[in-house]
Amino acid sequence: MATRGGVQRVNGSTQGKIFQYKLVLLGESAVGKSSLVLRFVKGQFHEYQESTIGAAFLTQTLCLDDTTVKFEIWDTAGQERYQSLAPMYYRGAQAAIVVYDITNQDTFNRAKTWVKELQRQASPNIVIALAGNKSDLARKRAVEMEQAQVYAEENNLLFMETSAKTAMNVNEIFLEIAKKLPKSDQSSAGGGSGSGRPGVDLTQSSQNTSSGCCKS
Amino acid sequence: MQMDLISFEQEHDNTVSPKKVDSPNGYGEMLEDDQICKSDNLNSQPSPSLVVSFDDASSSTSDATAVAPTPSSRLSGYFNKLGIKGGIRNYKRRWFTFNDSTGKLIYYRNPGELTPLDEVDIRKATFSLHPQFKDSSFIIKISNDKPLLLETNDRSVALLWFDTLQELRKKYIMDEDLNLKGQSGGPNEFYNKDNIPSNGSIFYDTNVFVSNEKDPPVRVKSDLEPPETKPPNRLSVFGRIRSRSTYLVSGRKESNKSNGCSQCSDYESSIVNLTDDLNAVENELEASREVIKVLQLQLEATVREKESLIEICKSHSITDQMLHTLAQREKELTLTESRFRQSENKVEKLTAESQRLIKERDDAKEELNLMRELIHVKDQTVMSLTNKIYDLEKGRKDETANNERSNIRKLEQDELESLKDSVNAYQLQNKCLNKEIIALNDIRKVLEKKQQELQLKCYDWEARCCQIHSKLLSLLKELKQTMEMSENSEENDPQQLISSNQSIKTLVTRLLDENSLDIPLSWKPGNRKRSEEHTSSSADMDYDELGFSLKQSDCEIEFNDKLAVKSEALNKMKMKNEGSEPAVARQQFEWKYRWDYFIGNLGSNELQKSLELKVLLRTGVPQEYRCKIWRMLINIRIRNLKERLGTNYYQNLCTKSAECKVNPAAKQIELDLLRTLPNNKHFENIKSPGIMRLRQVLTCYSLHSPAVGYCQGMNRLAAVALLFMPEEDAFWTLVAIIENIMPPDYFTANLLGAHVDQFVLRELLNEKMPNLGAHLEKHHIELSLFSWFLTCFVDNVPSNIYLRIWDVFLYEGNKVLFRFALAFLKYHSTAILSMNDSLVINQYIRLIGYRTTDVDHLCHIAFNQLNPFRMRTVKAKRLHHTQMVTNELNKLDSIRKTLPVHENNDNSDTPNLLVLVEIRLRGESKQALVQADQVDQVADLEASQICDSQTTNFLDCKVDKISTTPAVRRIAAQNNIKLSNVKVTGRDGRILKEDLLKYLEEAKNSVPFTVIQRAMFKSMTQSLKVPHFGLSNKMTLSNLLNILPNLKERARGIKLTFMPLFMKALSLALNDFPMLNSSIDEKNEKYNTYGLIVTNIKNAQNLSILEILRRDDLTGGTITSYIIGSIGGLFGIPVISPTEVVIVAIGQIRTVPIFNEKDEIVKGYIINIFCQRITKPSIE
Repeated sequence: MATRGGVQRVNGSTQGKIFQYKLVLLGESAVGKSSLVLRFVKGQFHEYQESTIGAAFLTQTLCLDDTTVKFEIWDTAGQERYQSLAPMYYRGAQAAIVVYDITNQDTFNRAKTWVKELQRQASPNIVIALAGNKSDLARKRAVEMEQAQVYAEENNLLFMETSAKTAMNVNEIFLEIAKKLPKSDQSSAGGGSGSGRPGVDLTQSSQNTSSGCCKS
Repeated sequence: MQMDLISFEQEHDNTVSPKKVDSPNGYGEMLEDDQICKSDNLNSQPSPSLVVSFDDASSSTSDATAVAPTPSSRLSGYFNKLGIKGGIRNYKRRWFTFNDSTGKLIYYRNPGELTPLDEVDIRKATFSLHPQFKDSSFIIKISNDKPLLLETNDRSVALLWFDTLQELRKKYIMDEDLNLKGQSGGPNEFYNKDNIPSNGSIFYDTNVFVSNEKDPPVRVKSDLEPPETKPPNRLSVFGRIRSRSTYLVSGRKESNKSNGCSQCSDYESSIVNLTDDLNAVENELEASREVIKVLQLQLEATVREKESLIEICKSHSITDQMLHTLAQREKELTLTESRFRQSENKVEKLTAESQRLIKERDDAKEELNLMRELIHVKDQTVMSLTNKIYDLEKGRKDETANNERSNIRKLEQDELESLKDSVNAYQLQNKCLNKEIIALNDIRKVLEKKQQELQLKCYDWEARCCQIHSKLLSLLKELKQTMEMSENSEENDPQQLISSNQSIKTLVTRLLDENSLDIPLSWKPGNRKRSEEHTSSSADMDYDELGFSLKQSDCEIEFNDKLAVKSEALNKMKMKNEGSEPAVARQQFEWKYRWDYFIGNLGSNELQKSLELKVLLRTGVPQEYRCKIWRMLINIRIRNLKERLGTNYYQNLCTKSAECKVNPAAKQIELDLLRTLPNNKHFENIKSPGIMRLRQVLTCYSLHSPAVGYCQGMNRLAAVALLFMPEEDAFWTLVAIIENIMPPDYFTANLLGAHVDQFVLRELLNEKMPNLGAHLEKHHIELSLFSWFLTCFVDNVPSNIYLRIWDVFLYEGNKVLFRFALAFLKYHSTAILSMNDSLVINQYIRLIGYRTTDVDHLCHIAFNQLNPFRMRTVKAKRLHHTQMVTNELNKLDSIRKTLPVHENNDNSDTPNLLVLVEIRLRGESKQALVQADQVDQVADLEASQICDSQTTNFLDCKVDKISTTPAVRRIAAQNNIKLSNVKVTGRDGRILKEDLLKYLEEAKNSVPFTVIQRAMFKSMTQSLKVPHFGLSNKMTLSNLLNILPNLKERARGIKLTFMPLFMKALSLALNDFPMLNSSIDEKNEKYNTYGLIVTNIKNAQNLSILEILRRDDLTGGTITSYIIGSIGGLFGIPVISPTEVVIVAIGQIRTVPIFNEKDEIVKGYIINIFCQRITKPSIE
């Protein structure tokens, strides 16, 4: 945690606190999870991003008014059989982005399943965002925005249609999540005192693990 | 010592004691007891001298302290005495002791004994060490007597005895001489000796002597009394002794003589001895007479003296006192006289000595002078000789110098000139040769280039040729098939003909497609040039020889220290180039050479597993041999499988994939094609040749193994394989990796194997690098390196590293993955340990592959530093975690099932076991085994058996305590043999190599049960217990066949088989006989009737078996039907599946003449149906 203190000094924001959050991306294969992250973290876009095997790990820092939010991003593989790995990554996550492809109804259905699973399995306070990716392909649209919007409202999700290709709403969705994440001292107990992992509610995560997913 | 002596005198010293003179009986007795030889010895000694020598002997021994300084070291000890009795030689242990007083060596049986066995006078003895016997034996030989052979264990003891005895003998003999001299000296001498008070024994002797005079009170007086009466008395005593002893001995001799001739010689010798003695005694007697004369003269003198003294006494009236003092003076006088005599003797001796010495000195002096003269002469000769030598040398030198100088100058000049000429000539030659060499080298280079080009061309053409060959073959086969088909079915099946024609057409067009030319992608013409000519166009420079984009490759590294990594890599390169360039080049050359040698040796042979190959592979395979080596490695692994599946298996799969429109994996494959190796030019766009092949390979694999289907990650494996291998081999590579190298269930539904391996990896990490493990633990970092394990390091690792890993991986198997995963961590362990933020560590580990610059070092860590690395431990760990992970995954699945399922939630991705069954039936065995319920059972069974087989596999590994040799274990491991299955012939249940080889031989000819076969075997055995009967019938199918064309038309290209039709008919029939639609409840002994719950399959003709079977509502069925017709069977007796009541076997459709309603013979289509049902079901 010494490094974290160091970051604080480097930023030079005397009043600013650093919050570190674990964020996981879920969604059907080839909906653009990795592309979203790549756009957000590096500002790049590859037409053909290598398919993710297992999971990828990236980090990005956002500045919010007087605080700094550090995202620890776990970008998971989308193929169905890789979903057995997902609990490893969403366990203990404070935020999740469930991505679907607006040109493919199936991916939206899969997204809904993911939301359900997160609501049941992940930590109760998890902030879930629904991202309808590939909005640049709106003419091939298969999932109506309203439909998704309604679903998001019903389930209390953040919702945005994004495009990793055009960078539309990419930073925004992360920013929204950062804003919505609790920044009370309680939830980020480690942030102030300098002990433990900031933003990670260990007790909750342990409860969840005991309820059943792959324990590791 | 004194006591000893006393006892001696009392018991044995019969010659010494004068007491024995007076007791002749005792003396006689003693003689009787003693042996003859002994008495000889005794007799040979001059007895009177012994009395005297006794004193001297004792005094001399007391002087000779060097030999016996203390009483304890008196000369005595054990010897083995050789005795000859009746010709038998035997050694007897005897105690020998030397009597100082008598100068005799006496021996007894034991030291404590009083009676000696015998004694030897050393004065007469000669000593010798016997050379014939042992070193430690020595012989005491006395003249005219048999030698006394003594033996001891210790040579030093023998020598000591030898020396001391010699010494003693010398002394005794010398003393004897002295005594004789002293004796002849006169009566004074006698007195003197007697009166020396130093020795108690002498005193004792005298005492005895005095007591013999029977005048004890005047003992001293008698000694001092005038000797007129004494000397004759004493002499008479001696004479008596001598004469008596002689008489006795002679008497004895005579008696012995009469005893027998055997002892004659002994007696003769003793007679000789005795006569000698007699002579000696006579001599003595004469001497004594002379002494007597002298003494008489003396007596006269003393008488006169006495008379004069008496006169003086009378005249001077001297008192007794005066006389007394006179006598005393006399005594003193004699004393001093004797002393004087002694000293005189000494002086004599000394003067003799000094004279001798003087003589010696003179001799020495003379010698010295002689020597000096000699030396002088020698010096002179040496001088003269050296002078001569010097002169000679000088003379020679002068001579040669003069001669040579003149000669050499001329010769040298000549030689020089000739040498100059030859040097010039050589120089010229050298120049010419150099030129020649350069020219030849140039030619060689050109030729080499040409050769290489030609070789490359040759390779290309060869590959092309092979490809075309295979295409031709497949085309011809297809043609042949259609020909046969057309022959068989004639005009009856025009549709089939058309379809086959079509398929030929498609095949031809496919084959004609240039892109499908099946050679490895890295062989494509463009690559090769680039790899050789680095100066080619700039556009080409963006790709390396394998087609990887050089631009993009480092885009992966987004971290700040990208530069640091780069600089490190460059530094290393620089180091290599500068410092150790020759060494590296040599290493490189050696490595290359070894491979060349290996490949050369291999020739056209099959690759064999060997240690050499293993070691060589660990050094990496040269790029140009990768294609060949990898192909061969793969071939080793799947040779058997390939044989089983047939040569055209892949082509068949290809055609099938073209036909099969419903491939559940196709969608995902399509999605991933371009996302496989986007930075490789062979895979960069949808039209790239690599992409098309990749699609083909993956699709074929999903058909080959529906249980696996397609899993992300496999695309990378296939793509890398395609870089080095033709399409078909790439397919087989995929098969080998998934089915042979990796543990089961690695790529299946929930990636069980991969999950397990993560735990195994973690455990191994904790074992191999506990501090790093603890560090990661501390920062809550979960090592999830799925991507490495599922893609064999193709993900997130630079290509140069993963190709090296693959080289080994294909040979050594999945253990290599652990080795390298750990090696990566170890390579960076210091860096990771220095980090204290989970975020940073995670990020670091994620791109650890790109941070690794030194491949050789990585390999070194993987293969050397991580040892020991046993597959057994890995297997044990896998076993340990498998159950746990399975449970967790099952839990997760059950949770997910409870989640609401959204519409259109297609499970296309998850492989259905029914799919597996169907495909197996179609593709592999052609055996018809179709029945909804059974399939379900099979599915369950299979699922459980997969689990079982895993666990048993693992258990097998763990419990594998079968005794055998490591070599056998290795062979077993290589061939995937459970040792428990091998028939044992070795002792104590030990598996011998022959057993294993035999088993292998058998295994070659046997095919193991498939999962389905096993299930069938089990269930059918079970069902044969059920009482049942059979009924057979024939059915005409004319009507059905009439409507078939119509149905087929409606099916629109979907292959329609009879099976669904039968199924439909059967299920319709069940509507009429609901009781048959039941199952047995064995436990409760009742039938569970399902009444009218009969499936009505809509559009049965339009659904494939697969689809029929996939209808959920068909599960829990009650009737099984076998289509034996598809394998050409006419009749079949099926076996009822347990819990069911009926089973139907449907035979082949046959064309036979039959009678129609009008009794006309017409062509009819008949099938045989055989139905078995359980006896006496309670049907109402």
